[in-house]
Amino acid sequence: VRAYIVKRLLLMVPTLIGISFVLWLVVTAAPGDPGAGQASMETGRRQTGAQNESRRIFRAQFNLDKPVFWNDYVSVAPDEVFEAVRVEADASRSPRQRREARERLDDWGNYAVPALIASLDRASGAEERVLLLHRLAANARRTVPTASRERLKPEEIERNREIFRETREIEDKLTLDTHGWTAERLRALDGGASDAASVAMRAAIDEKTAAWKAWYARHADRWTWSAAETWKIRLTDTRFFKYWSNLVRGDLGVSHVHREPVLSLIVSRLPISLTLSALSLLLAYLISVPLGVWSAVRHRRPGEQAVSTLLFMLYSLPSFFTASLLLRYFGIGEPWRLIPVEGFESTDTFSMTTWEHVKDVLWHVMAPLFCLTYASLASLSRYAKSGILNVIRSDYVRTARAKGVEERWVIWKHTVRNGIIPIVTLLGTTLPAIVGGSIIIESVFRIPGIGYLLWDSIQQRDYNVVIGETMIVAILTMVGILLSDILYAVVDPRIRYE
Amino acid sequence: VSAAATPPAPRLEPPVVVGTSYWAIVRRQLRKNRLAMVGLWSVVSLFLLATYAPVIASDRPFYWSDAEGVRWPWFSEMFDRIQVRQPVDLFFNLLMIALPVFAVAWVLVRRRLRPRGRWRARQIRATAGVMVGVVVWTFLGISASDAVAANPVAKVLLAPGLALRSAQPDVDWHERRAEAEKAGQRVTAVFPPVPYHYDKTRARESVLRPDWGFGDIRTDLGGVGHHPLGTDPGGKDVLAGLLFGARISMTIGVIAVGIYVTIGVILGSLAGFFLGWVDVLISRLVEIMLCFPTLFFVLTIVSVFETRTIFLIMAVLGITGWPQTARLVRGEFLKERALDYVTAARSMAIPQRRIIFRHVLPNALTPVLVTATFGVAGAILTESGISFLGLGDPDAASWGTLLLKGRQTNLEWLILAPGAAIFFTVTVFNLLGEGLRDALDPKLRR
Repeated sequence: VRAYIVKRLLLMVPTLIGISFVLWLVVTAAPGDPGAGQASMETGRRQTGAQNESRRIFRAQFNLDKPVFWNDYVSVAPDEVFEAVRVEADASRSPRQRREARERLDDWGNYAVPALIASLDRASGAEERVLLLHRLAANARRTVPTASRERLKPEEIERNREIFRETREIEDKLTLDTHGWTAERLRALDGGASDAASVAMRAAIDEKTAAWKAWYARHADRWTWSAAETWKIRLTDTRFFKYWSNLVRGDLGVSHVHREPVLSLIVSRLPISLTLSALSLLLAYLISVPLGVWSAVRHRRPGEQAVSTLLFMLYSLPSFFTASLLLRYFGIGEPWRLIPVEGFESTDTFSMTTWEHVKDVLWHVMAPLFCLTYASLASLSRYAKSGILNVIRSDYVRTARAKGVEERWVIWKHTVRNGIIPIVTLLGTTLPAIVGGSIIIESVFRIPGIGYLLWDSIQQRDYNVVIGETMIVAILTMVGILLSDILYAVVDPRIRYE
Repeated sequence: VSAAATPPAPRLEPPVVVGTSYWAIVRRQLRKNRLAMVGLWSVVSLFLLATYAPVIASDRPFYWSDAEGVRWPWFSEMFDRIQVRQPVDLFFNLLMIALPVFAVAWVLVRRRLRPRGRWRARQIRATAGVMVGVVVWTFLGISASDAVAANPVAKVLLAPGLALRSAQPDVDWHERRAEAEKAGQRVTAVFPPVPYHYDKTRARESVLRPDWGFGDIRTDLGGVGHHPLGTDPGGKDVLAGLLFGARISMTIGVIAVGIYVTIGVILGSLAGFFLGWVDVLISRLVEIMLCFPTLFFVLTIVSVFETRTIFLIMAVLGITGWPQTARLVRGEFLKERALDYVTAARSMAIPQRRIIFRHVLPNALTPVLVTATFGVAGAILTESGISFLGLGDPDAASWGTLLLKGRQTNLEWLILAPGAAIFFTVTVFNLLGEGLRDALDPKLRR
């Protein structure tokens, strides 16, 4: 058995990699990006600058702006950038073409800055120049990583300050104020208009252009890489590499709703869900085994048939329906107010003794536990029944009876231990079912466990949490399945693994 | 000592054994199981109810006659792009016509069928194929987008479906009737028993208790018919919602299970037949997929999509559900490939593809049928769960969405009606699954 356990533990590694890979596929291969609709929901086709900005930040946060495997943005050709800017500026192009050009420019991000600076001299029309300046203001900006509530290191604070300072500089000194400017006015500018406003506009554009060139001259070292550095960027600044390097470091990112690292957020919610799942599993097994024995012994008698039918119905009864019914009739006071409507414990737990606290939790958990348990209870007891029925029909049980062993002993000593072996293996499928069911139950009863967290995060579009949590849950399930397999090997000595 | 003591034994003709095919036995076993038959007939009637939902609940009159003449809005707007937005509804509306046509065709063909044997099976298969083909072809035309419908090539290719389409302005026939009667005109109109659309808001009739089809119609609120199961806060009729929800649930169940059974069977048979590295690869994949609790995984995938249609949910349920089936089929293949008939087939140099799909697969498929039946129940349950969490298709008349409304408003009929519908459907499919399992299991044969 030990060799088997070691082998299984080793096999966990590829499974783990597989799990991460599947989730990576989900994040990467999902068509479109989740932020796009979020931004365009209110205004339909037309997106305002602020929405573009939020979309950009969103993509940056999930590395969606990076290429998948190979970063060629580092050597993006100035022609390509210039062309994209022209397409974005060109009102005669279709909205779709313009949007695509804009998104391409957004994705190039910082890497496009040298090309944009070089394009400043090539821009012909005033409209293009204005657009280039706006582009520079957007692309040259660096963003602060989503802050968590954790204490930052001094150098991180220093770096963030530096970034903020720079952003301020770009906003105050380098951004063109185009308030009141129209496309016609800009075109008039190209036509050589010489009224006072046009002169001022032209001066403003020239001034900002010069300012940007100066700014770039000061920061040019940021964009000059040695060959080795270029290669490093090409290989490492990709979605693939970022994802895996974060994973290896155990960094699941930061929740932008809770402002907390995802891992610690999940760990803080985990005890509640684990309590619930463990209690539910325990209850299911504690009740289903005697129930299964009872129905096997009384097989096909009227009482047993009624119970079996009831169990069958329970198995088909959706837990969210039961939960809604319980809350409707026993929760809100019409007609009864017997169970708490929400939460894992009362709000004033600090004034309780330990015993009172336990009682309070149990009182809160009663109804959710029932909803979470009855389905697995029903299916487990059906399996227990058929397992025991199989054993009861076997020869050695007949022998035992023929020897005159008391019926009680035949059942409890000879039959049950063999009969329940199959339901031990069911641990591997019951566990995921209970964990999955906890999403619905926890969100109906508003129990702040991981199921509720997942639901809440999906609603709030907190994708770091969603992905991180699915990964953690998959890992926990994997361990659970492993444990149940080992348990199986321990319980049933006949099983030998090579 | 005579040599002629024993007359030569008469040569016996071998007795004619009328064999019973496997499926005949299964059918007989299933018929004996009363609960399973209840399940089967309930599934059939649910399907019929879902198909003919508009006959019971629709706000289009079957027949309308006023000063302007006679009209048949229920019929003429069956495939209307304004009235019927949900592609699932378009399909079921088509089925409303197709089912009787099928029945007639079947009766006609049946008389000409050969008595038994291979030709009979071929004839049946060909007839069924033609019928399904015609329905799919028509459906493509009906559900094509306007851009496709304008394409000259498509116009020819999809002619029958396109001919059925219409796009008429939305008329509130109840209001029109009231206006006409106020003006003193004579209007004769025949409406379905529940004259309401399942998804149109009727603000004045919001939150009405069930009247079970009796009692006074609340004309003071603008009511024009009974609300047998009451209304929701938007004034939408609950019974109509349930009927059209059955369409969604049935479709989700069948299509999602269809997708994952197909994937599972292909991968499982590859793994079980070839073994070696193919098996290692597929089995690893199965183990990885099994680590994700279904609902977690489904919700994670659904969450990255911006617009959640029921087709997305079907697809996601389909691509996440296959590992169980694959594992099952793999096990069956392992069992089957050791049997003599496979060795025999191999020794006759029958191509591998043919051995897999024509020889082994049919034998390995019977347990899949059972899991597929349970799977439909599971898929319906999962979909209602997703909708109940508010993460489903907001436009589909899902039972889960209805139950969510009930949960939010604590109106008892809004909890009980959809909950009972889900419960009933799931139970019925589970009953059928149990019955099939018992009937297919040779050990339990009586």
